[in-house]
Amino acid sequence: MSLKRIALPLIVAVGLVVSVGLVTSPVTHAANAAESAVGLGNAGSFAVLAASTVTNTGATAVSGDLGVNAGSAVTGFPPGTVNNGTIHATDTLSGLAQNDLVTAYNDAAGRTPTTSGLTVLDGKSLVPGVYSGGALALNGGTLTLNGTANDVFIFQAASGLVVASGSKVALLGGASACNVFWQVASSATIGTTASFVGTVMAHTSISVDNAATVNGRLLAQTGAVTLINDTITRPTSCVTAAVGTPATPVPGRARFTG
Amino acid sequence: MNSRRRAAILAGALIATALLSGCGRLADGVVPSAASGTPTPAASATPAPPPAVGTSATATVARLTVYASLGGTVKLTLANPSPTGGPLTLLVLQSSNGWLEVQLPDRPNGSRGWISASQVTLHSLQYDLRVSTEQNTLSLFRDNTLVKTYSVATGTGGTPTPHGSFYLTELLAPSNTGYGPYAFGLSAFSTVLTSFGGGPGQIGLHGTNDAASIGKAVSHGCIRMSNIDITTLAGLLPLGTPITIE
Repeated sequence: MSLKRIALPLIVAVGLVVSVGLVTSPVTHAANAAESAVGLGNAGSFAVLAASTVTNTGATAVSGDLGVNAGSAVTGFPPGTVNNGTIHATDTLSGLAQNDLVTAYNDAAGRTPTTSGLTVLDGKSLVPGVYSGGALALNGGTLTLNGTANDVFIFQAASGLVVASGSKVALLGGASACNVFWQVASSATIGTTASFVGTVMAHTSISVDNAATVNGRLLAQTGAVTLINDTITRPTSCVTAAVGTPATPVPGRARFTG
Repeated sequence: MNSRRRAAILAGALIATALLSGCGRLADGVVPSAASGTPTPAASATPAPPPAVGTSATATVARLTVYASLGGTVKLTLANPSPTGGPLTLLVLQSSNGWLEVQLPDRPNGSRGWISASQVTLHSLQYDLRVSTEQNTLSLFRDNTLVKTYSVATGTGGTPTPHGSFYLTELLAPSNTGYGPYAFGLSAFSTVLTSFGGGPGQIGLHGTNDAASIGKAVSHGCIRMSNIDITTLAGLLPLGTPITIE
């Protein structure tokens, strides 16, 4: 048998194995330098931020600012409550926050993945890094994030994020909710009684079903945030000192000394 | 480098270090106390950022309460947005366990006060400005490295531009003539004029419709630049940016 006749099938076989592996298994890349947290700027004070509407049903408790911009509809507060913050309906702060959210979203989306091809998160125990996938799903199981308080976890979903009912994100080793970020290119859904951790930055909308708990933020760029009897708590000991952005000029009469 | 600017840069670096280590946002409702300890930076796995030029604090509440000292009485409250419509922004001088000492946009020049860190959003600053009234120049620095020096007009002998360490408080797109396309307000006030043009004698950094005045000591205390130069700065500088006038 000639070398050529042996080599060709071998190359094809190896190629098939590699191709299948790329499709079905996450691929781990060379480790990046330790990731820095995503700077949220003015969005950092918000527990809930939407573009069009924030709609609540029932006794949702939000800790942190709640806002919309450029829509103005915030409904369901009360019976929902906002503590450690206020409601910002298309005011200056919510506008700045939405601007900063765009920056933060793009920052997260632009990070180089340490692992790509991720889909189902159930049962995984992950170290700090950047994890990318198409549609990310937690189907009722537990995702464990293992790191110190300064370690950063960034998830990039090229389409949606679906967290099914009863799912849980657990922190181990001192990992902080401050440093968990979910960049979602479409919309995110968090199911009934799920216990979720991290800042969700969704390009479109975020829907949280009945009695879920979020230790983080729900930030929607262009759509709505919908809540039902949930508990949303903005982490309170996070890095907030992003680099300042150029001032926005305000039209008006100048009265300086000239 | 004068001692005040050096102190501000050192404070910025310390504050940024503390913030980057997770000490940036602290509990609400704590009464200021001189006994409070300074936050201790924790070890971080991330590479050290360049030393911060400073830290700005932008109010997240409609009225920001300013205390005279740690554990002291209320000094004043500041409206947010500021009277000219922009976000109320202050320059942080130092931090102490959830409280921030800030420079105030108020007379006398260099006024200070303490605010709760829970009522502001913090940003680190990369740029600072240094003005020479002797040379009639303004130098732009990024991370303490000179970017460019501009020719400016400053105050006359009778209406001098005050010396000291200040910051940019606001940015207007003036609807009245004489200020060019953009005008920054400073936390500095004229030491001669208590009012001017319906305002409180606040010093500005702005453009002009009198290009021939650039490079001369001809103003009422404001710092004038060419309209092209002020447009450049307006597209670059955050509120809170330190400006030192010597």
